[in-house]
Amino acid sequence: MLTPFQIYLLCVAVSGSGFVAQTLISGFWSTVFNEDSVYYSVNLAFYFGGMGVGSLVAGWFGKATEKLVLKFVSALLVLVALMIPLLRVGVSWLGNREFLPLFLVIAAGFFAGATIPLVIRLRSGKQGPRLGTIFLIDYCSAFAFACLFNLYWLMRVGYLQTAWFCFFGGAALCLPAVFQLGRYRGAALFASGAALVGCLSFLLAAQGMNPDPESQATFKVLFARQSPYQKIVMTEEIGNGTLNPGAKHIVMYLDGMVQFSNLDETSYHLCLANIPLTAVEFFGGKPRKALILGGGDGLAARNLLAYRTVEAVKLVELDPLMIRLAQAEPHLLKLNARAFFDPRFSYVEGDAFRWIKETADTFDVILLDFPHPKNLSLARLYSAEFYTELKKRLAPGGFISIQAGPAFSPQDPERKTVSEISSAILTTVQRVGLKGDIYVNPGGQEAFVLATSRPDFAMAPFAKAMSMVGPEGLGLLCQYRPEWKHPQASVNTLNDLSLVPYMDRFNRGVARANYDFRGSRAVFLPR
Amino acid sequence: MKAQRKLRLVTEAAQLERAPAALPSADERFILTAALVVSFSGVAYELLLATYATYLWGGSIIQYSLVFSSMMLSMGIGSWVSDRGDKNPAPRFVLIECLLAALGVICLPVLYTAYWKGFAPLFFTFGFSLAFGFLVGLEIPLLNRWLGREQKLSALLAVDFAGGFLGGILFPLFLVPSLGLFRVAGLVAFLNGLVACRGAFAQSKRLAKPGLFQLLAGGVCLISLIYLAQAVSLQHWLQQRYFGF
Repeated sequence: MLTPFQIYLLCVAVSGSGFVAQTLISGFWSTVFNEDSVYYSVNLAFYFGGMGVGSLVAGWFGKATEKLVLKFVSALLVLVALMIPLLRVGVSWLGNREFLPLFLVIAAGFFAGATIPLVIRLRSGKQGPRLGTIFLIDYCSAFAFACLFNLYWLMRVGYLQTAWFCFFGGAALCLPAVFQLGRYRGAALFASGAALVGCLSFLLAAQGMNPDPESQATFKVLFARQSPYQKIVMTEEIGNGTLNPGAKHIVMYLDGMVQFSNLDETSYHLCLANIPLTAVEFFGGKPRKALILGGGDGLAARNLLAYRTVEAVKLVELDPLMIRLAQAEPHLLKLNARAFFDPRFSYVEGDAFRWIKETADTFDVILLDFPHPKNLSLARLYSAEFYTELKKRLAPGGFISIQAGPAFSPQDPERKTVSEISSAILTTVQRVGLKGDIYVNPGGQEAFVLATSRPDFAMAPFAKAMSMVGPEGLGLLCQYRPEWKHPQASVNTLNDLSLVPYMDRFNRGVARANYDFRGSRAVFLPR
Repeated sequence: MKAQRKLRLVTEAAQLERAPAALPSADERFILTAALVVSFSGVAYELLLATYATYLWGGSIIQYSLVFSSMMLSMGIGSWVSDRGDKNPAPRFVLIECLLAALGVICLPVLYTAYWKGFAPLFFTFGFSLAFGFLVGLEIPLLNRWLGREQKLSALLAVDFAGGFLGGILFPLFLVPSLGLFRVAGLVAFLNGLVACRGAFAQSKRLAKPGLFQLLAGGVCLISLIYLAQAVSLQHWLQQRYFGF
């Protein structure tokens, strides 16, 4: 007979490791894909589904025995040890398939869900623990494991190691019960089984971690680190573009998406930084103070600082690791021309949204250099609420330029209609009472929105003066066409982040059309 | 269908084993439906909170982990507290459902106001997830006591998890894309209100003052229905008032 304490320990092992398994799988998977909220919810749902099936199945067993409980617990722990290596191997064999993690989540839910009613029945009718107590331990250990592993270990050591910690921790919690039932022989068997599973997991993980030899030949990883917000990877690659094939170029990836490459960043930053600056001058103002939100790489700052008339440039960046990189990484220092050391330059580490509410300064030029609005956290930086705050910080006659997502949909090869994403951003800007229009970079992949509070703003004469309307080709600074159609798109507000579904639809269109798009995915699996 | 048949088999087997003071099957069906709605709305509220907090304050991993784990904690506390008193479950059940519906109605506007005022998000998301979790946690042991047999526990838990499954699947794939967050909150609150009404009217024998409970449940039901119908105008009104667009 097991004592109540030993049973409680088993409960902790089961519900804790089951919950960690669920969150690890959904976290791992949301970094492979980008849509976080959907994956969290669906994974949670399938975990519950698995638990439901498990507790039904538990009802079939006529009598709950301690050995049966122990078998279910062990099965769950084996799953925890092997899931991340299995996922990695699965991804490298089959590609990113959504069904892979679902099997594992259902299995984890099944074992966890079958064990809880068995444990409850184990001691029913006798002096056993009450249902509420079992549930308390069940939920509290899920809470404790989630805090310890997901918020502490995961941020420091990565998915694989977190799963191992959880596996060995769970096995240790089972040991008193194993010893009670099987004495020394049982405990020795259990421990050697755990060691064997651990070894298998190590071996599998090594399998999955082997980099593809072909890809290793074409690029060298200069820098790869996980910050609290994103995974930053810098590589040196052999270019296969038409401009200068075979040239080495530096590419920065944020969470697996291309942020910039030194071959095409010039045109991007010209559009983002120089256009609003010249717009201020064109309409008779003087650009003195500039603000950059995002863009911690310092490349947009470099373009602004090149102007003598600019007296101060302020940069607000969320990720401290990005700022350290921009100040110290030799390749990046060369690219941003040591912008961070210019006396006119200052920076703030923090959330742009919060900072803009607290500051009282006004600026002549504001640049929004955020990644594409692919998830909720990013889409809120394109919301009407944010633009309302931004409008208050814009000096009279000042201009805002916004990096406004991919310019054209892959289903529109003739480029007659701008994408829903850019159109939605323009609609949002207009909703808060700013005037604006859309222009795109020379390659036509990235759209930008130029916005201002000037009532006399019109894009056409400015674009003509900047020769943005000429024929396509090299040497053109940016493109603007008055005849571009803007599709109907809804305003992006904090109560309805419409950009996320637009972005999602765009990405699916990219996948369907096999469209060569600047942000196309490179898979850098999470650690 | 298959699952239902199995569920019936399980319950029948349990009845054969020992059957003290069997409940009428209508009551049993009501309890199982209630368990389904409770766990569905629990998961839906949880996801609603985590998603809306991410909308407002960003940082999805932190928001989801915090909401999930704090809700787990308070569910544990709720089910532990639920075991302390062994009184008549019906009035408590109606009251809990009414509270859940009321919290569901005020939750999003309060969070939006907190955001506009610039309050720290932690206090509000934490507060709401603790409250939701506590109320949901009170329910399962309560319904289990109402069912009255330990062997039914598997069926009850299976229904409970099925509700969670439905919530997790429907919320991101169907409810939010087609209705938007505010109307989803209204819908779930309305569901809670309906179950409260059903409890207050069908179980009136078990209630000390049935009229009072019926009035309360009916009122909550009506308010959540109005909220559901007017969610979009409420949203626009809040935006207009706080941000002027």
